[in-house]
Amino acid sequence: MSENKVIFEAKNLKKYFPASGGKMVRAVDDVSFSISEGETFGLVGESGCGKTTCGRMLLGVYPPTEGEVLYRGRGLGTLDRHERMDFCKNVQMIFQDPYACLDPRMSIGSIIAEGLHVHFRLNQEETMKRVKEQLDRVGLTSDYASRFPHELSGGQRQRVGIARALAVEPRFIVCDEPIAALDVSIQAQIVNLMIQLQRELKLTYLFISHDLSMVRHISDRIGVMYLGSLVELAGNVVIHEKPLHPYTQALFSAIPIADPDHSWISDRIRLEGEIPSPLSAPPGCKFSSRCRMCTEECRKSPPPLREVEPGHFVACHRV
Amino acid sequence: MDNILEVKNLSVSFMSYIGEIRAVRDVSFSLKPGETLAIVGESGCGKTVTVKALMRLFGNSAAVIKEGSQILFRGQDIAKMKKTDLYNIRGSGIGMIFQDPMTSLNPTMNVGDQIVEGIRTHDQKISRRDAIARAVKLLELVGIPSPEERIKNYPHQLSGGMRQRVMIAIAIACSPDIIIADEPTTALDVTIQAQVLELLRELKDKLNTAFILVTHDLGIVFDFSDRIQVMYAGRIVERGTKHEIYKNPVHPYTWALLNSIPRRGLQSKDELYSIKGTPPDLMLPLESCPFAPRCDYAMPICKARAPQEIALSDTHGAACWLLHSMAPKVERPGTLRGADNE
Repeated sequence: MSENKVIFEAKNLKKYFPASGGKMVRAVDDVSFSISEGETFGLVGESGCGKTTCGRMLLGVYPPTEGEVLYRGRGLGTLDRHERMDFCKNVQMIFQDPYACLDPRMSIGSIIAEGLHVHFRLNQEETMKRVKEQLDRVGLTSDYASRFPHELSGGQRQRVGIARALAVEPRFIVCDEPIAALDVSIQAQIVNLMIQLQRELKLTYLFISHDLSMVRHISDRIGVMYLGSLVELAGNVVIHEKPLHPYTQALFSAIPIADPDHSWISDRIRLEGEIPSPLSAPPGCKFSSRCRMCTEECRKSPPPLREVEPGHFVACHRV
Repeated sequence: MDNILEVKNLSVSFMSYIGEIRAVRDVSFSLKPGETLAIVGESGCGKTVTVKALMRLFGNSAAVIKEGSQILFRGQDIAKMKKTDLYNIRGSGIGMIFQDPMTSLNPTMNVGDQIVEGIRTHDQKISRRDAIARAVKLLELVGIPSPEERIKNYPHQLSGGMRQRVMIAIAIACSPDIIIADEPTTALDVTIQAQVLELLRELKDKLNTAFILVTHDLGIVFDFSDRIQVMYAGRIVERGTKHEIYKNPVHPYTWALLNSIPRRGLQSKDELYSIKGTPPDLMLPLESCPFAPRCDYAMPICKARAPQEIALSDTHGAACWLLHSMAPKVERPGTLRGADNE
């Protein structure tokens, strides 16, 4: 990456949602990481681990219960109205469900133009020109501008979602499971498009997904979450080849391998039981209830995320 | 061994107000006892409709199994069978595991009753108490801890993985000869997916049932099935044993599917192979090869006439004009040729 300028920093982020009976769902519990300009940061984990909540806190959609998000060194809460507008322009999101995230009553052109109206003073002609540029950029012809979402396939809709995010010329895009709802052959199209756009426009991505092999493919660094905590953070190759946290090891060994002579089902590292409810997470290390190497210490105190090798962080007492 | 299931020239259409949607077009295949067949393809290729036709599970939808289709299960034709005979086969002859355990289980019945329901439908002599005892055994078999307690739970009290285990218990309750699993792990996380697949594989060995696995994920089929059948636009475009499909795939669509999974050897951020365009409209008659508009190797004949299946071995065959003796020889994409070296 060109320069190591930090664009986002999450500092001890916590997000608790109130649940019935006065309990708290600890969706994100003390997560810290930073994202540098131009990189793709992958956030993986199983459903309910808090990865989407993390992404939303970065965008300021959810205010954190504790901790703070720094955007280019400034806390999100301290931005004034003008800076806030600038932040919204620079930070965009691509959503998971291309069927639910486009307003069915708006034409594709007006969906893409909506952000332009908010952030730029453009006349009709200039707006249309920009809309067409965006459509062209994501591989759709300009006559799509007058169509409506129901006329489009899932892959085309996701392209519109990307065009809408790009229209306001952002620097940073949160991609929340952008390919989960698409077919295999279409997934590859969208991932290729995202990589190509990143190269052209020097974008920074936060790529949230549960598809581990795709995340490995697109990301520079990957963070693994389990039950609201970041358990491991490392470069994409390192985390696949030398995962250190027992959960990461189990997770990555469960990726299907297309090879008839290799039984990934038998060779994987087995996990005992299922993820505990976030209402009643174990007090010490959250993974302790399912860990093979668990000790007394693990059950009592939560392990801090520490750097074991340059750039490789693990939260485990036993590593 | 004789085939337990033989499907001949199966065609299924949906009669909609805009016309006939031909979801499955002239599909033939067979299944031996104890064998596992995987049907692979993208959404809308007709894989689910094919397996639903095997049990005529169309409910009130406008699906019609066309004239001339034969579905021979133990020699009886399911396509023409009376409804009462069909009830005897559903559950006890062929069992089914559905994709989404949340919508397939009844939210108003506890899981024990849902298992008992199937058992008592097919075995009228069994007492309720014995049926419940059997349900507990089944839950134990599918790896649910403390089954005596769990049997009283309702679906919403169980996690996704647990619900899928209950679905499996219902499917195996009457020890059917064939179990159809329609995307059994699509709604599950990877670690749970591996658990469920391992369970299915153990059960397959233990009970010696035949399996039909329907999936869009080529990653999971090689470790699970004996034979693989690739479907596109309602047709089978390639079939073969798992080794034949892995080492020597011949249809460009199979190449594309295999290539669109990021492989271990691939450098990150390299361009992934992707198939251009979108799947065809199933309203059209498709007299040409349905894959031709998206195929990198399409020739003039591909757009004029649909290819017939050409056999390469007893088990391996594909419907592609490239296999014709007069077709030019094309090389498989580079990333796939690497598979031969292993």
